[in-house]
Amino acid sequence: MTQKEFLQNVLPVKDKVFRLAKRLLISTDEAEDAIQELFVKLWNKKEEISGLRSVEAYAMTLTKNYCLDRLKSKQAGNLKLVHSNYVSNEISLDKKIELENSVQIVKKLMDQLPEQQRIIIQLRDVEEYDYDEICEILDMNQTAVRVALSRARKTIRKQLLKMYAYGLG
Amino acid sequence: MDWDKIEKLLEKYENAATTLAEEQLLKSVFEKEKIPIHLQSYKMLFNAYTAFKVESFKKEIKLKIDKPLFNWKYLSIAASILILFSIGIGYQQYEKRQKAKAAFLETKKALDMLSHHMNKGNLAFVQLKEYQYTTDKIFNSPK
Repeated sequence: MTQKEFLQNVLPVKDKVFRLAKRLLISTDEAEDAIQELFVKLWNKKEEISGLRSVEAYAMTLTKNYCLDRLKSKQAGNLKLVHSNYVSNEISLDKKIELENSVQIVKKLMDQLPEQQRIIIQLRDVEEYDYDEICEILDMNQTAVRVALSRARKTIRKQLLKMYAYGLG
Repeated sequence: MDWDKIEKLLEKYENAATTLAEEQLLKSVFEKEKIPIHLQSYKMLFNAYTAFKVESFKKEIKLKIDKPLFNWKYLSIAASILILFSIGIGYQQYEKRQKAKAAFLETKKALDMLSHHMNKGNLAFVQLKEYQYTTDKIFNSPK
């Protein structure tokens, strides 16, 4: 695979893997570093990739594993996560302030979910993958994915309602 | 808008039983329509999900293509240096041995000469022995 072919195959995934990395690592800087390293990894594995049915699923799996490893080693090293502000683009100005607030709140709620559920919400509700793809990325069966997803959705919903009850929305 | 239908969909959504198309419908509904108060929190949720999806990775990705630390080129250079080095050492060793051989031959020659001259002396001893023998014959001959 030449560099050009590689970029054509893999670059379209970069935003998705970046968003997944950011969902897991939380900090934008760390997510960017992770993506940089991941793409070098993918490039080194380009021979394997060219034979794959779905490069996207493979890249997502790699990202997930990489970020979870990062989180694990971070917990061991007792480092603090750096939270950075979410910057939304392409949203009209009049909606922005209202949205910013609600986006922040939802983001916080998502960040509180266990990693597994966070990944599934990200893949399904944000990236809109179908169940087969999610199963392939996570190497789980559909029932398990649905159970985790339902649990995550209910948790977020409950927290959201609680916030609404306190008039935070 | 048929909110009963939407609420049923929402329930299905929470049980993770909705299809992608249904979820997309929910997203678009909560994006556009006037939402009843009790469903406001869903608006917030779905709008946030939509907003999450526009975030993109803007940095340039660098593929470190031609810089592996280990390189066959370096290995061949190292190998040729090693060969030169060992040839040098081998030659030195050879020289040493040659010198030692020469010294050995020289010593051997000297020792040969010495033994040669010693043997010459031996000849004299033989004569002396012969002389002794004859004198013994004369002086010690029994009468």
